[in-house]
Amino acid sequence: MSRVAAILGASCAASLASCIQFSYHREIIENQPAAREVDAFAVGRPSLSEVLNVLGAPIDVFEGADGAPAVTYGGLRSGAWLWNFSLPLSDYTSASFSYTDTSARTRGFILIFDTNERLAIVREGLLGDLREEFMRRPPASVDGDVPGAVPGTAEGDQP
Amino acid sequence: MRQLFIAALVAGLLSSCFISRERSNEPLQKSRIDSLAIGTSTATEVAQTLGAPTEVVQLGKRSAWRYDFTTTKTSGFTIIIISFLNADRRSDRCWLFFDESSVLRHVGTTLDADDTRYAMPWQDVD
Repeated sequence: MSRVAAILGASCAASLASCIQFSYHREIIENQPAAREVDAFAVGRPSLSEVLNVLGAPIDVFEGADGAPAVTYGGLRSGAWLWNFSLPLSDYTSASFSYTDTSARTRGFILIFDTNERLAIVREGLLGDLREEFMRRPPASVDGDVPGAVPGTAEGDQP
Repeated sequence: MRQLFIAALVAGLLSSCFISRERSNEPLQKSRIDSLAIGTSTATEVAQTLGAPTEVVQLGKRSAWRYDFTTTKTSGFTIIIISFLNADRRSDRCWLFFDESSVLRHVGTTLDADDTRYAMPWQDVD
């Protein structure tokens, strides 16, 4: 009986090993500047060049309000347990599902400059949220106001 | 018998260790970046010196170009169904800002790609 149990256990272990995997994944992305370096910019409204000289190259640059530059600095240090389950359905396909118990998002600083390229705003937080908040919105399309509208025509123009 | 078991165990663990390195773009050469003159170099000269940028961002009538070289080093090991992984990604980056006349006005450079390390998840690499 014990031999049968051992064989069954070994079979289950072998099957599980091919279907389910647990992993601890640590991710390191770039270096976040020290807060004290960024805080030093709160006084004096430095120029874009002065900021670049101290903090180096940003990880992202985009257009803020009025076409002024906005730059972001940040880094990610995350660690998460993951598990992955994969069930072979045929020789060539499998159904899989994975779940992460923590979501890793990058934190950092965003520095908004005015049109004279002087620092105007410094904010800290999740870079994705900050970019969404400060990125210049494209002008609304007139065509987009009326679905299917043709430029130069209006309902009142109908013959 | 015991030595054989230990040898087999070590061999089994070692066979599940791995490292990998991924590189994106070409390494930035600081001497070439330093050869550019703020207030003088034009976008054309920058392109001739550094090649095509990875990204161009429009900033109103101005623009910014990004050059980067990224290295990712991943290491880890697996014991039967449990894996431990560490991925370290850092880059060399250079952002060049041009004015309305496509003259270079600002340069920001960070060279961190060489700081990328192979490590286990519990090791301090900062």
